[in-house]
Amino acid sequence: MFLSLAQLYGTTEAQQAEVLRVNALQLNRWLEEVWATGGTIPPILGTPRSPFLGDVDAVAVHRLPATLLTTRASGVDTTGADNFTGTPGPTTDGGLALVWDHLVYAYLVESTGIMEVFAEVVRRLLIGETLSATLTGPSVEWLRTTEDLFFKDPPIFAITGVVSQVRPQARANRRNAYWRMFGMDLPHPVPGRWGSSTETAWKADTGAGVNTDFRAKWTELLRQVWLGVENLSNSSGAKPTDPEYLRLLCEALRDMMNNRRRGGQLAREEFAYVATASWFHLTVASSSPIVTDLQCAATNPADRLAALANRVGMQSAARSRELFDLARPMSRFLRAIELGVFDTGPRAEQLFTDATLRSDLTTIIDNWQSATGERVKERPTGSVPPPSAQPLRVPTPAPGVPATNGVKA
Amino acid sequence: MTEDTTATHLTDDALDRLTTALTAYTAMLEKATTGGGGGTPPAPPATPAPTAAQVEGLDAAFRYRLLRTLMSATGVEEVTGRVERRNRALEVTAHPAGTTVTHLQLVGDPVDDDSPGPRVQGVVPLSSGRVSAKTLRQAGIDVDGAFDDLRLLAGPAGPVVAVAPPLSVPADSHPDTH
Repeated sequence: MFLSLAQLYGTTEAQQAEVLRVNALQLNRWLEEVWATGGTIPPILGTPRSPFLGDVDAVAVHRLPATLLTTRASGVDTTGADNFTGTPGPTTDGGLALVWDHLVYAYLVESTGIMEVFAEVVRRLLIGETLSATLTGPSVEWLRTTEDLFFKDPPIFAITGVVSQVRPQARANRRNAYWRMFGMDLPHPVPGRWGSSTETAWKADTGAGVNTDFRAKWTELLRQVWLGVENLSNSSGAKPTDPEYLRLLCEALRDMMNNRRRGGQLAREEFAYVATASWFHLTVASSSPIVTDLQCAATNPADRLAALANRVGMQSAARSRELFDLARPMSRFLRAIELGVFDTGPRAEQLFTDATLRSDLTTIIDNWQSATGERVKERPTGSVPPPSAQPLRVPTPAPGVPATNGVKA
Repeated sequence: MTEDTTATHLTDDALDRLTTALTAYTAMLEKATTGGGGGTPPAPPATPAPTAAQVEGLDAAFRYRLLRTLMSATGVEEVTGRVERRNRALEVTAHPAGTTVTHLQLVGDPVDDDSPGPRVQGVVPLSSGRVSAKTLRQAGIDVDGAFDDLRLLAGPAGPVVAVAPPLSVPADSHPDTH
């Protein structure tokens, strides 16, 4: 979300870093405006009943009344962080509402360890001088905004207020959402300072509402797309490409994700977690003031994060680079799948025939393979008989397996 | 013309004779096709209309590209333009001149009263800014309907066009676009 706002500020790093200086109150109001404006897929992308966010009313039921929304507008002005327009900030691109990232974006970005690293950076900057850093004005602004927006209880009644007495830990809440939607937990434990690393109460009471077979279906989809890319120009011989099977896989993934969104479930959570992840992603997307002041300037987000982690005695994920590169393309692709963009054979065939899609999918395949270690492109060779190009059964979303508290499924 | 001449051993003289023979042969073909001198030259072969599957595939690719643009906020801008009927085709032009219009996005009436917006009927590819009425009819488009409420959206993959009949979108929501 904040990456999109940065894009509206301009294309240079300096212009985009201006977002990091905007007052927390303004940004909080801007998030409210984005929620109210977006949440519905533009008509030219699908039917009005497209299952975006699971329910067409998911946004409406949480939206502030229009007058109340504009009574205290964000006033965000893309010409400068210090400006205040007095009107709602930019929430559209070319007249079409911005579409925020999929929950998988938050999962992949958080998998780098970025949230925990910045939690420690902010903590150390606020309670002592162990970092021996003299912050410049823009860094002080970033520090205050970051603490206000992401490490305090959110403003009461705010759209990002997905923490309460019944779900008090933001860390656990995020893991709960990732677990339900993708059947995957973060690769790193909760740091001891913030809780027990063996505490998995957040897995309890999810019932059958866990997409335990997401990863298997997703990997199979990538494998089938790669088969299509490999055999795109074949004019003779065997051609294992099967667009209809791709369609079935896309439909299975769509159905399992839509199942978790019934009644607009996870909509607010997705919005809040994606906003949080994008803030920290934006912070390391360039050598922003805070990165520079902490002497962690580098040429790419992963190296900046690694340097920041070193500064506070931590380590970021070894495959951070791939995770950052994977986050947005995979987010776009899953959104498209959920919208049913590939729900017929001819549509699914575009996954390897259309140049834009093929490029995006190849990026996803390369980075997923490298980040997870799952060999999507390779098939067994040698004396063993060649495996079938696809499994015997067509994909269907399997019923979720209830997780027992304390036991990983 | 009995001597053997290969491409690697062409002399100037042989080349002249070959050119003369080809010119004569071309003239003979033209005469046979047009039924005598002065006739209208044959029309170039018509581009076959895309099949339903091709249109469907293009529609998916188009939607993905637009979604990709919206999710990264990398620039969807409205550009001005117009849609005109010329003979049996619909011609789309965008301004400034030279802007390539690659697709025609057709938006129909809302499905029901509580729909938040108009319904997409389909996307058809344009060839040099034109699409035949036959192609539109095959896509279920009423080519006799009004096409005067038009939005042109320019994305990184080339401008795309949304055509909305006046009833489906309030006229004042698209100022100065036609």
